[in-house]
Amino acid sequence: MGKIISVHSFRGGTGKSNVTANLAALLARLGKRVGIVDTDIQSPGIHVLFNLSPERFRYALNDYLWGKCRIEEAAYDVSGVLEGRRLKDAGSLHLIPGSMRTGEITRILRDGYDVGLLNSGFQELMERLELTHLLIDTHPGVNEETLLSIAISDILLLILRPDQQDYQGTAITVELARQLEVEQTFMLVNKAINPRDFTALKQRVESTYHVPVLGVLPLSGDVAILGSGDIFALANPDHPVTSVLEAAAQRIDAA
Amino acid sequence: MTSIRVVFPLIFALQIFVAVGLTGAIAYVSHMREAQDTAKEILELIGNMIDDQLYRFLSQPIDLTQVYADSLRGRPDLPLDDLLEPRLVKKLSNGVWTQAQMTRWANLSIANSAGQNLRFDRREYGKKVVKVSDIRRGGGVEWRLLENYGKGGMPLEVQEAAYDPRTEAYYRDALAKGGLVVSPIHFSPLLQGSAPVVTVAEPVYDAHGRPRAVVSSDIYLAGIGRYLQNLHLPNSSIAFLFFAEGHLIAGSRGSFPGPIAGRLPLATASSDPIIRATAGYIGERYGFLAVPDAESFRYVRGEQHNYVHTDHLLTDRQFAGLGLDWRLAVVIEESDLIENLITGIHSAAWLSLGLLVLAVAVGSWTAAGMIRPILTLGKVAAALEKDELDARHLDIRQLERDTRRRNEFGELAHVFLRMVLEVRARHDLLEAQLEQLRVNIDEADTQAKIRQIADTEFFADLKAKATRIREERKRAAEPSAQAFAEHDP
Ligand SMILES: Nc1ncnc2c1ncn2[C@@H]1O[C@H](COP(=O)(O)OP(=O)(O)OP(=O)(O)O)[C@@H](O)[C@H]1O
Ligand SMILES: [Mg+2]
Repeated sequence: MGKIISVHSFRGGTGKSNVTANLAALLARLGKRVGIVDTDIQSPGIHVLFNLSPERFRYALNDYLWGKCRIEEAAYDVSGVLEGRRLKDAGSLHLIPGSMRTGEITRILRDGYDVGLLNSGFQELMERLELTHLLIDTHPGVNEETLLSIAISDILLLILRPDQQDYQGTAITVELARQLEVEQTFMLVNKAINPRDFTALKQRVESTYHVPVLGVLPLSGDVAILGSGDIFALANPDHPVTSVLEAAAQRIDAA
Repeated sequence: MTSIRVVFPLIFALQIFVAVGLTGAIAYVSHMREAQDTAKEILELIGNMIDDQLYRFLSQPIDLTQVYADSLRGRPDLPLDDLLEPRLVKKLSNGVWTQAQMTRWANLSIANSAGQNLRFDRREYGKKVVKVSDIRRGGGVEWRLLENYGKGGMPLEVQEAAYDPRTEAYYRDALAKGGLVVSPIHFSPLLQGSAPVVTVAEPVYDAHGRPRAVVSSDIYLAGIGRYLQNLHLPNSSIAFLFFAEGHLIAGSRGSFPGPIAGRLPLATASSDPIIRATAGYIGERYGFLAVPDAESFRYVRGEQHNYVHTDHLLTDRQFAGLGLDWRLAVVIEESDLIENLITGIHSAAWLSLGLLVLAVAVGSWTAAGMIRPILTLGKVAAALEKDELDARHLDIRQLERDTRRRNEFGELAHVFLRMVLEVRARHDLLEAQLEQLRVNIDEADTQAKIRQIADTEFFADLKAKATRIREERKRAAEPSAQAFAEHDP
């Protein structure tokens, strides 16, 4: 049975979409069959990282949830980004974009997802596509949709920036995840400033939240330049940031 | 510490002050020198003019005397033993009037060794007059109209005091020298009121070298005075003649006291204050005898500055060797001469002062403008040091404006601004680094927020559903796991 992994952060712009895409790509390269779901309906964006323009997809996650299509029809194979960089042949990448249609966005905001429906949808998706990992790119902050995603996840990956606001906000999410009995919670610090402090920073965060930290990513000009136009780890296999991401992917795979 | 805000404009202003002041002072000095030169020139000019006029004035009686003496020499047959003989007087008078047509003051005397004296004159009456005296007949002087001479009747005037020409200085000097002489000043008894005169005289001898007569002519000093007074000298300038001993001969201004006890008054006793002061100064400075030729100088009397030019008169041509020792002083008041000049200098001084104020103002303004960027740098640096600098800081705004200057200040401001921004960026980074290690969680706040969510019905429901889902998933996973186990040997 595959694993559902929610990627979440307290604040927007922390690097969720980037980390999700990179981890997904690195897992696929390890031979995993990986699905990515964009539940950030208010500002979906992960498709950009896979060069998938909204005109090219007919159906999105909500179409399936509302019975408008079969799950295979909402999933787009984006394994192309791997471009033969797969380490094991079996690996593949599938993206289920969030809705881009404004009418549907308001409907979801009004009615909300049903947790059961969402869960059975994800289960069906994983079965049909034989996924080993399903990564959910969430909307930032604590709201009902986020809590739904977290509730049905096997793993919660919290992305945080090393500053007071995120430290404070993340503490709430960690506690809520604990109450929802999520099996495994991880953290990943992004946009940290001084690389010399990273070990100390990691220890500090781990001892504060009692949650394992998968890695500390620096605020890197290189990452910013690539922006959300490409998958960094694939484009820069020898970059120190890539090695941190690879280590994180391996920990997730092993969990 | 003295701020450059003060020092810089001060130095600037001082430089301007010195420059303008120096120019003004130089201009003033050169103007004054020019004024002095001008004064000297004017005085010399006046002196020369007087000398020239005086020469003409004095040369007439000399010419008259010499020409008349010559004409007597040309008539050796003319007996001069009895000068008063009417027909002789007639003859002698012809030559005189032709010679003396030109001047109203002309007079001529002929004296013989017998003590007779015949004088042609017209001074007091305008008409031609003869004044005759004979010491052998008592020496009294009778005045008669020439046209009535020898016809008897009452004389016009009679002077009782005996007059013997042979005792006069001119007579003795002429014979002693045997040529033309000019007598010292004396008071002629042949004039009403006895006026001071000098007499020009020349002897005439017979074939045996015996004196036949002495021809002479008187020069009235009062006439010289009138002449000087008629000269058009500049206002407040004065010219006067004096002897080596300091006796005043004549002046262009002021009333002249008559002779005192038969002597001319001293110049130092003149009624005119300028003559008095100038003469006093000359006497003190040179002693009257030693006044140098053509000398110009300036002296101060009370508040007043005067320029003076002194010269010896009649030292050349036919006067040379006549023993005249006349000196001339021409005085001009400085104030009169350079009044215009001084007003000019004053207005120039005011203009300079105005320019100075303007220059100092402009200088200060420029200096302030020039040093402002430096002050801004200082303020920004101070603010940076105290960690009070942000992008909205007024001084950093000013610094940004300064970078737009197209000069070294602009470059400096540019470099400085870049440095400041760099320092600030580094500082911010350091702050952030410290911040990211300061993992500080407000436990109470966190708990409150968690309770807010956890206490909702939604969350309780979600929690229950999540538990159920997990159990279902576990159950679903187990059979298949068994199935795998069965298939996998
Ligand atoms: N380590 C990093 N160094 C520099 N820039 C980064 C880094 N990580 C992410 N970014 C940049 O931050 C921006 C936000 O990243 P991203 O879209 O992945 O965040 P997000 O959490 O998904 O945002 P949102 O909440 O809006 O979905 C992107 O422009 C990305 O290029
Ligand atoms: Mg995102």
